[in-house]
Amino acid sequence: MDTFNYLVLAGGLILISGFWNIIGPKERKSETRFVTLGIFVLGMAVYFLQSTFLPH
Amino acid sequence: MDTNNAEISEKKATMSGDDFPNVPVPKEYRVTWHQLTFVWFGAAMVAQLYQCGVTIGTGMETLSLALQAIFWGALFLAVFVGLNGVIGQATGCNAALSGTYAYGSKGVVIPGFHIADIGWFVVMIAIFANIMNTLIPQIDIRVFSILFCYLFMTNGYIGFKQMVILNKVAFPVLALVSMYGLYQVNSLPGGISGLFEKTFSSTFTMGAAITAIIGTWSAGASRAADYFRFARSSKDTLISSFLGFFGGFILCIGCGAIWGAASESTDIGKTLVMLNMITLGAIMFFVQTWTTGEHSAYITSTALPLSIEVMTGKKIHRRYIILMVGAIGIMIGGLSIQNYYVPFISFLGYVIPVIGAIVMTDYFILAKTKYHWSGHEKFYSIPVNSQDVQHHIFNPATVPALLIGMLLSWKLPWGIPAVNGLIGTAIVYILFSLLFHKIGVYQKEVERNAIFANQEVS
Repeated sequence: MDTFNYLVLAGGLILISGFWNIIGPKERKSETRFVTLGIFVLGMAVYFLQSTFLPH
Repeated sequence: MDTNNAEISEKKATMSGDDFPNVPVPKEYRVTWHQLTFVWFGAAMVAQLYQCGVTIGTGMETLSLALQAIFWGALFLAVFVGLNGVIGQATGCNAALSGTYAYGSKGVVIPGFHIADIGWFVVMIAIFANIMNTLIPQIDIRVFSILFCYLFMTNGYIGFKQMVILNKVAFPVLALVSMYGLYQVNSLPGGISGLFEKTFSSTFTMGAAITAIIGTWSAGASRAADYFRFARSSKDTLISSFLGFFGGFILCIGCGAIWGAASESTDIGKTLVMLNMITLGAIMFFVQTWTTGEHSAYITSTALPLSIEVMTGKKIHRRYIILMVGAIGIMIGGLSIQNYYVPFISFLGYVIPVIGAIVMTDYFILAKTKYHWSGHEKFYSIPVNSQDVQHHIFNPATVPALLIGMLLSWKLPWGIPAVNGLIGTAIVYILFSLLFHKIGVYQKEVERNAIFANQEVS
């Protein structure tokens, strides 16, 4: 179940990141890439910490 | 800052593509009334309105009484939205920036530094993640929460025009699902007309029901200027308030009341199951939470940069505030935040209308008299970034008005807390303005006006 949730989370984050990079303004392309990478790392880290230290 | 600097500042904001958090919206950026109506139609519809509608629909003796309460509550809110919107339209400033006229160029930190909408953004997403986790229990609520926080800041990070598009999509979805729900109710034995013959155990008086209805939107309505600064005229503002806000609000809460009366349950999830519209309901709540979340993040991003600039002297782009709001949501959205919804919304009901009341009283009453704290006549017609406005640093009458207003809102055992706070703050603010004028507290403001007037002449 946990692996499944990690897969869903990673897949979702990648999809939304791709979406942002497609629709983002051209003059902020590198910023958008940097921000989406940051959110991906943050999302995975937050889920790891919450599921490890605050299990349901 | 002199007039030239103000003009340069305006041009920079225009060129940056930002949504003018620190300057009035230029005339060429104003939008038509039907664009604003779409925005407000989407913004007015929040998931809690369905919940409130279901509760009122089953909590008054008859459905017609519930619909009467909804009408009066919605009318009060639409007027409130319209009046705040007129200030935004007239000054071209968002709610926080237009506060400069009432609070002063440094005092504007007070209305600007409301971070309540960060909480609202997180709570809304936590509630929706909870609904989705009920529908798809295999996926962890924390995964839903992280993904929705990320997705729902998309339009806020990219800009205002995309929000209009989102609300245009939201409009047909919400309207169709609401209507489909009514169709489903009509398909039940007795139909909609049969609901008016039903009687329910009465848990709400008319006053209590109107109180609950006003409570759902009083905080948001006090910040209507954030959107209506884009309006071309006060007539457009009033039309959009009544067609957009009133229409969206009535449709949302009215459908909730009828659905609730049909299902006789106060649980919105059970109501959706009974009306056989689980999938449609999930889609509708998805769109609703997205539009409302966007609205909350947007408001925070227009208010906070101004306060940060006043305190630190640094300008922060609106989109970085959106990222901050989203990051906070990602970090705490999955921690059962939805359980704190009621205390959170009660806190907003006490605080936010009080802050808005000072601006409304200042614009509609005191600015039209000789007792205005700035000593200016027609103070609101002076550009907000001009020296004539900026040299008025802090209005001391706002402090007792805020403190006593919040106390009245919080402690009075009768009436509607938001309305108590609003009226109480207005009265206290007027009284202290008169008192300070009488004892000469505002004399230095008048003297400075004379000094700047002389400098301009020379």
